[in-house]
Amino acid sequence: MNTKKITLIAILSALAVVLSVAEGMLVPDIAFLPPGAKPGLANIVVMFAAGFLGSIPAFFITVLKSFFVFLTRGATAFFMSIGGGILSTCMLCILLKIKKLPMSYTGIGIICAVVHNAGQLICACVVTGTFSLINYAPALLAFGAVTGFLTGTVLKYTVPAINKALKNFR
Amino acid sequence: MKKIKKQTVGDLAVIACVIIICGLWFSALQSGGKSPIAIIYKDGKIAEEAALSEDRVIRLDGVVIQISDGKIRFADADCPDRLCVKSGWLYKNGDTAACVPSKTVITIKNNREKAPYAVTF
Repeated sequence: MNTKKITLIAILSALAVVLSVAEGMLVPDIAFLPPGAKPGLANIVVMFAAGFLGSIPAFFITVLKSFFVFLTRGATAFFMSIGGGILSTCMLCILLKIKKLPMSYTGIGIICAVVHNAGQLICACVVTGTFSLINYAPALLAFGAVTGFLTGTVLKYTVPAINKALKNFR
Repeated sequence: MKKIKKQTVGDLAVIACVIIICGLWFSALQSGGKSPIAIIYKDGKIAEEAALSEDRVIRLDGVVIQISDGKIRFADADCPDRLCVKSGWLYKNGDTAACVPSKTVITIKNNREKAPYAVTF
């Protein structure tokens, strides 16, 4: 763990926090969207961290982001955030460990976003103690797939440029 | 080049899976009959089973639930996000809204009590 790496983790953490706050302002309250659904732009940062720095920094950023949610939006939001975040980062790290995965960041992004939403839904079911929230699942699945496609595709086309910029990193 | 093609196949497989699952699940929710009732859960237990035919306002700890014109919604809530209020009106089988902080969930179910009569006749 050298200074460069610590600095990069700090920058990425700040970026993840800012994106997660800013995206809340981007989404209009459209009726057919599942309420509270957000694009998950911070997942771009987490995916990059997992690919470039490894699993532990990715988990660190996820937890830090959730802690920020706790400070700004309270315990319930924190519980939902960390439930989805940990589950999706686990899935992400497993996928990235698989050699010759027949899938680009687009596919990984979709899977992670869907898993993230599933984690949040499970948390919501646990908090409310009501299984009927499962009725949200199809809408969350569809929305997660769209946002995951977007975030994954953004990463897919920016990773070559970032790799070039960080050529002298190691 | 070959690698890129293989990756695309994986991506498309994921997208196809999602579309199929969504399609099946949505169509499963669409099925249903008439006279839906609203079930209001509080702390994981059924607090109230309300018919949607009669307009009224239900006040529970932290939330105000309104039934009007065969539909039900969270009219007001104490929580910071107020996502439950933004969920809007519920009226179809499977429609669900939740206020997670106050542990309140509303879900619409078709009235099962009427089903046996339909079978008998």
